Amino acid sequence: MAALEIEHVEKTLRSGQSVLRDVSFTARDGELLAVVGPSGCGKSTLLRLVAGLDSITAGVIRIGGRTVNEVPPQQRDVAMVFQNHALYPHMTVYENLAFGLRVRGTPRTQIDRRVRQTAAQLGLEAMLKRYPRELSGGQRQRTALGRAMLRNPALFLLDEPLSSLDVPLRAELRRELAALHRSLGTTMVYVTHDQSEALSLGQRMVVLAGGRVQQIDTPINVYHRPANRFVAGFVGWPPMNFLTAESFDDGARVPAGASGLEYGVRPESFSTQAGGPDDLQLAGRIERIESQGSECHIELTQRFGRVLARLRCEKLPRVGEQIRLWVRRSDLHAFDRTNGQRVELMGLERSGPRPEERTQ
Amino acid sequence: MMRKRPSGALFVLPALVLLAVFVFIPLIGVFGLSLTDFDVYSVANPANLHVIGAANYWHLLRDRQAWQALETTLVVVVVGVPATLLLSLISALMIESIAERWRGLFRTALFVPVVCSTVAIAISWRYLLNTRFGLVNHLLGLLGLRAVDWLGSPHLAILAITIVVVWKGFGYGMIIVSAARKEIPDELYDAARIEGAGVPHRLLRITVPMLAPTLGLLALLDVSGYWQLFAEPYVLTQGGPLGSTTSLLLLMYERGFRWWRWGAASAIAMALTAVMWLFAWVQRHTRAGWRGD
Repeated sequence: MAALEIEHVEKTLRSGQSVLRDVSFTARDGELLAVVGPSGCGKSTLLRLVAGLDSITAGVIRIGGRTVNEVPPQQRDVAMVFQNHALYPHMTVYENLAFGLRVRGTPRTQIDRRVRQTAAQLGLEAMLKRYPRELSGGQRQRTALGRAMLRNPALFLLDEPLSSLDVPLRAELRRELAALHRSLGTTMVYVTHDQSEALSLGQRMVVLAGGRVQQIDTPINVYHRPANRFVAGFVGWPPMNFLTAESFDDGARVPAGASGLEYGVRPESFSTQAGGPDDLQLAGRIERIESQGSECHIELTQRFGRVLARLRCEKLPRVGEQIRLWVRRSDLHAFDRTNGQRVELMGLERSGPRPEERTQ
Repeated sequence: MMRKRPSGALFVLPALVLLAVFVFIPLIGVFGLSLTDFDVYSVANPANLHVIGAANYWHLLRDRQAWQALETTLVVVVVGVPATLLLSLISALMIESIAERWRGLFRTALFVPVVCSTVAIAISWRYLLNTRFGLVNHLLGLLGLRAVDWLGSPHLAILAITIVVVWKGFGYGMIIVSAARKEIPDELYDAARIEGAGVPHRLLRITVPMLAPTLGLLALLDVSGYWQLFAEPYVLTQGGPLGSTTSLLLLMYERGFRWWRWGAASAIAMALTAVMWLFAWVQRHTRAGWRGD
């Protein structure tokens, strides 16, 4: 078990293209850290750098306190699970699991014991003689996980391990993965492009975009106090609405700030009734109603743009009619128009917990 | 069940006609000839033609020259095919490891022999292997070794011919192996590196097994090609010295077109065909356990 420390890591390709810029964060010992970002943000590169498959241009990577910048992959004591499993197609499940131990010259009886033990843990006992092409997607992923687990690495690196699976299976394996992490207690870095996966699985999450770290915090804090406009728009589904002061009925009552502010409201922060005297109002014409079962996604247009609200489906006006919505002032996020950074609005009680209140 | 339609038969017909004219009918003809003592006298007077049943085959079984030709051909196949595969594999992997801008040059250089005329190549090699003036012996001389009579020695001539055959053939396999190697996902190597597999392990446990189906196919192509060895010994040694480089096909050619004993030559042709069929059958029924998805 070990912590992963990444300090001022840079990666520039030979073509001169910069992939990662001044990336720093720490995955604590035993933590499940989710790294999330849109495709092309450098998150897979980051994982390859930690694994030692590519070399860093600048910075320091430490695993368990040991600087590994120059250490080859096989000596870093890490295991990696790849997006497309990377199972050896010409080997059976047993051989796939045993591969790492075999090339390290582990005695045969010990290999056999550990392979069977891991297979039992993952429910793969009956599959040991099969080839990867004879497995279902979930079984393949379990085999890939098992292969990583067998060597008892200090650090697990998971590169979008569930993205090739269908949705129900993904949810199931996500639960299994969380349980596995609890029972193994090994540090895990979990890379995904799916913000919901990062929110539900990560103990903390690193939001990466354009090769830079945007925010590092617990999922709850990232959701309720996004550090900048990018994080606010990327984390949470449906995405946050970005509005100007004019969007609200009484723009003057919008919390104070310099004129260069943009306001963010999450779709679920809207209500069809006023909650208190301080609530802000907003009106528009319903363009579309999309039922999600228990609730509805309402798209309304107003002069200043479109707004998406998530409301209970009862007593809603019809498409084409006007609707009036209320937002608590404390549910308003504000971002600087010039640099997109979060601006704390003075004198507001936030609905989400503050960093010091967070629970692990 | 598929319904048989006349239009389907029409589409297949041209191919069937071509196959019949160039394969099936000649094959039946050759089989027929192999049961006769058809020779140059029979051309002059058909009355000299007799059906002699399997006599040509019985003669073949007791024919020392035929057994020697079989042995010669087998040596080329048994030595040449593994050598070709190994060279194809090694050259494909080596070319991949050299700088990108030189790759094309080397690949072309190694592939040129494949597309060159066999006769031209054989003649070039005759000069290279010349005992007194050849480049090969000159180079051996520089190393302080004595000149070798490559094509004049009954033991060395077949080796020299195998070298020429392999040299001409391995470039083709190199291109095929190169293409197959590119199909192996990089992730497999990444995974293996993280798991602690060094270069030899990655080569022997990933690259070679992943290329096995391709190498199997190449082996079949090479076996069938080398089994029909003809042009190289025909140009380099004319089957000598002492018949040591007479391949089965060369023997058939000599019987048929030099001595005009077409019946006997046809029996050799049928034997060759039978062996090829056997190879094809074995290949079909012993495919490796792993096949690409």
